[in-house]
Amino acid sequence: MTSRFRTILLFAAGLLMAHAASAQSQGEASLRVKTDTPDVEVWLDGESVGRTPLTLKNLTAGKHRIALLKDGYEDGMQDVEVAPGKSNSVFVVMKPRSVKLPDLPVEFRIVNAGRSSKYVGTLRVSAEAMDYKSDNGAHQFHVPVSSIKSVVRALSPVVGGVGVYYKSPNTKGEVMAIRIEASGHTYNFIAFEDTRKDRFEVANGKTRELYDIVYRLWFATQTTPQKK
Amino acid sequence: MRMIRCLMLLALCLMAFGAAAAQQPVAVVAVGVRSPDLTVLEQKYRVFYLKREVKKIPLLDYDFKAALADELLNALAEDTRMKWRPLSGAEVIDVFAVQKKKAPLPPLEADRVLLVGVEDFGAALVDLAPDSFYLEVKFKLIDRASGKKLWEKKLLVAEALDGKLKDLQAENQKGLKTGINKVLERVTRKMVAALLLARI
Repeated sequence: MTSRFRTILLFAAGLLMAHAASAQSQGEASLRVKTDTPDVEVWLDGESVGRTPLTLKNLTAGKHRIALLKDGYEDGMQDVEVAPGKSNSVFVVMKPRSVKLPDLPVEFRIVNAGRSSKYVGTLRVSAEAMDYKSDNGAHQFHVPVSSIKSVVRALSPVVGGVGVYYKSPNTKGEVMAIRIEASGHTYNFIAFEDTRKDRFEVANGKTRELYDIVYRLWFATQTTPQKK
Repeated sequence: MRMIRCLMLLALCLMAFGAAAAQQPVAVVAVGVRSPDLTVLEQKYRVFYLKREVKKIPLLDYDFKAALADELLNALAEDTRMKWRPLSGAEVIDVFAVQKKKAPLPPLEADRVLLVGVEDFGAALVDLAPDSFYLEVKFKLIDRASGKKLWEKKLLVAEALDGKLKDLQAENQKGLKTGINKVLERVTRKMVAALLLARI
C-alpha cells in the first residue's frame, strides 16, 4: 500500500515537473528594452508598459512593435522579433529633436473624438487658448491654456481606419492621438493634413507637431511663478 | 505511520527552505568608473617606435555607470543566494579605494558589497589587429562586517568595431553607444556566469 502510494506520488511529481518545463520552453519570453537616455516611455503593441530601462516578462514569442517616446527626442519605432524561451534585448539610441515652434496663433486640421462621434474641424492655437470648431459647426470648444491640467499622447494600433478617414480595410498602422485634460473635460484629437491622402506617418507627424506646441504652452504655465 | 513521518519530514524541509529564503543576505552593487568618457586608444606601429595616442570622447545622453549598474542588477537577479540592491542616493563608496583596501567601507545596510571597478572602456584602434570596443572591469564581492573577500574576478571583454570612428559618432553617437552596450552586456553575462559557479 505504502509503495503504491509512493509510486503515485513520484509519478505526480514527475508530471508536474514536466509540465512546468514545457510551459517555460514553449511560449514565454522576456524582452529587455534599453535606451541611451533613461526614462523613455515604452509602448508595446499600442500599450504603455513603463519607462526604460525595463524588462518585459511573459511575452508571447513572435513579432512585437515597440514605440519609444520622450519629450525632446524623435519617436523611436521598432519591430522586434522575440524568440521563445530566451532573454531578448533591444538597445535604442534616441535622436534629439530640435523643435522650432511656429509663430502663434497657428491652425491645425484635426479629427476630434467626441463621446459618440468624431468631428473634422479646425483647431486654432494661440498663446492663451485653443479654439476648435467643427466643419459642420455642430461642435466647438474653447480651452484656455491656463486651465490645462495635463497633455499626453498615446499610440494605438489601428486596422481599417481612424475615425472619418482611412476607410480602406487594408490600412494598418499606429496612430498617435493627443489627450488634453482641462476643467473637468477630456479632449482627444488627431491632427492631419488631408483626410483622404494622409498616411499614418503624415498624420502622426502633424499630431506630434501640435503636441509639441501645446505641451510647451502648458509646460510654461507649470514653471512660471504666478504673479500676485 | 510511515506516511505521517514522511509528511512531517517534508513539512520540516519546506519550513527550513522558507527560513533560508527569509535570511537571504542583502548585497549592494557599487559601480565606480575611472572616467565617465569613452577612451579612444590608437596605436600605430612605426619602423622604430610605437605611436600611442589616447583620446577621450564624452558620451552625450548616456550614463555608462548607471547603464552598467542597471544591467548588473537585472542579471544578478538570477543569483538567488543574495538579495541584490543598488546603492541608495545617500550611500557613497569609493570603489577603487575600497578594492585596494586603502579606504574602509562606509556604514551600509547590507551584508555584502559587490565592488565593480571599471578600469577603462572604449575603442581600441590598433595596427596589425582588428579594431574593437573593449571594457576592462574588476569585480570584488566582500563581506561588509569583516571586509573579507568572498569572490573576485577581473574581466577584459572586446567586441568587433565595424566602421570608422567618425561614422560611429553620427546620429547622436549611435555606433559608439551601441558598441559599448554590447561589451557591457557581454561582461555582465560573463560575470554572472562566473559568480553562479562560485562557492560563496
